[in-house]
Amino acid sequence: MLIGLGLLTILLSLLFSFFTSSIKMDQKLQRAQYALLERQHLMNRLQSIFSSCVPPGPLADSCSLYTKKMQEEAPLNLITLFDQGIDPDPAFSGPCLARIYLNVAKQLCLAIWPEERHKENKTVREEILLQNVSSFEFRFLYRNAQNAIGWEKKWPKKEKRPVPSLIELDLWIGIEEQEAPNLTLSFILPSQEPKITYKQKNQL
Amino acid sequence: MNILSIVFAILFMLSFAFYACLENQTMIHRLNKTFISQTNIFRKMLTAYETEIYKKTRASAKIASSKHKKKEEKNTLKEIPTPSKINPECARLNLWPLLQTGREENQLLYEELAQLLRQFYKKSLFSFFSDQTGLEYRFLDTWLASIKTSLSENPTDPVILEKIALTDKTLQMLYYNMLRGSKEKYPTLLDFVKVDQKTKDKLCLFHATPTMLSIFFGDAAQAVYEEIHGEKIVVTAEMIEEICRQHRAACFDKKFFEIITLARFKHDTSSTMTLLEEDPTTQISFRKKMAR
Repeated sequence: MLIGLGLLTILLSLLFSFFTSSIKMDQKLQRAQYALLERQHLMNRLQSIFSSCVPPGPLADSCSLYTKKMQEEAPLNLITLFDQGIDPDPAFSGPCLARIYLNVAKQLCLAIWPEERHKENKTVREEILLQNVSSFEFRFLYRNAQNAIGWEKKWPKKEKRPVPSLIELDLWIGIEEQEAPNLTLSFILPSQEPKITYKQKNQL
Repeated sequence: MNILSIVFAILFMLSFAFYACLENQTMIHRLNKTFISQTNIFRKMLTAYETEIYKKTRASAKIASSKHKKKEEKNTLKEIPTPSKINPECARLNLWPLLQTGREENQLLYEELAQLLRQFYKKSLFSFFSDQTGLEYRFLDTWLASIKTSLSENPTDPVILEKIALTDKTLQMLYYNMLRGSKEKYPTLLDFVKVDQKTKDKLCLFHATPTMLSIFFGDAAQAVYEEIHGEKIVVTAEMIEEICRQHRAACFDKKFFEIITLARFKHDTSSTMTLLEEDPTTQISFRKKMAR
């Protein structure tokens, strides 16, 4: 009886120790997976917004994507007019305005509200895209006066300015005093800007 | 005996914990799969967009080889083209005349819209929202009135059908479902209607998909599509009437030609294009409007 009890105790303690270590490992994995899912959600959300940018035309009078300084010392906000698609609330269907910004709680947020013609509708939808962000910066692909392709950190609102074909988002997560960003995400937009002309060999 | 029950209790707890872990893992796996398929769809969409843009820029190169192509075409039999995934703009019912001159002046168009609603949404949707008959007419009247109100508020802005708010909440929910569509159950309403103030063109049958044709020709729609895209240079109303008779499509009426045309015109390309892409593994599909 005693031997049996002893063996059972050993077996159970082994089982429990295995279970505790597997739970610890599982918790670590879950934390990593949560961070990964959060980033995946951020990528998908921004890609879906950027790929639905409304081009200048009958629906967008001026530039449909631009940066704007909202508060001093805060990173530049990105504002865009995009096609939200079909939503149960008709005001939030079709072209809507989106703003990407950093709030006081260090969260990268996305706010969506109906476009100007629905002034009576004051509702804003806010969602948190990423937690613990100390800073962020957008970079836009552009062609300069010397015809060279480069990156621009500001994309001010200009009349009928086209949407760039590539946007990069640099994110500083956690520690603030860091030069290089922790995370860089790239987004390809359905746009022809800047146009790159290739020359035939004999023309070179 | 007591020890056995303790052991079983512990084993039960362990199995429960294992199940919880497994469920969590499955959920994360599903989310990962969704992310990958969404990324794939975005890539496919961008590729489709670029292909469309390149088609436009390479126009001159095509002209150079057109002579050679014509010779080839003569030698091979004309194949029936596969219909496009989305019914093009030129082949959609334009609501503008109804908004301008009303129902009495455009009785045929009004009836065709009602037929559209009956055909695609009656079986699968209407029964969930109302037991009454004639819901399609009630919906049509409310819908047209709401578009008129929206137009009077913003006369210069183009009408965006997704943004139309109906006064009746039940009808609003029905409208939302119709706009969204459901895969393999009912198509999206946006594929069949438009509000175009500029054009007075009739609905182009040559570019219409068989689904659109089924509103006018019922079961004979596929045969009509094949006839229009077949080897015959000219397709007449009589030919279509004959096909409908062969297929016993009772709904055909020659009056339709007041709003539809058999002419093979080339239409101006619109400033936007709608792309529909699907991931075959997860069956997730996205539909997006993009600028040309």
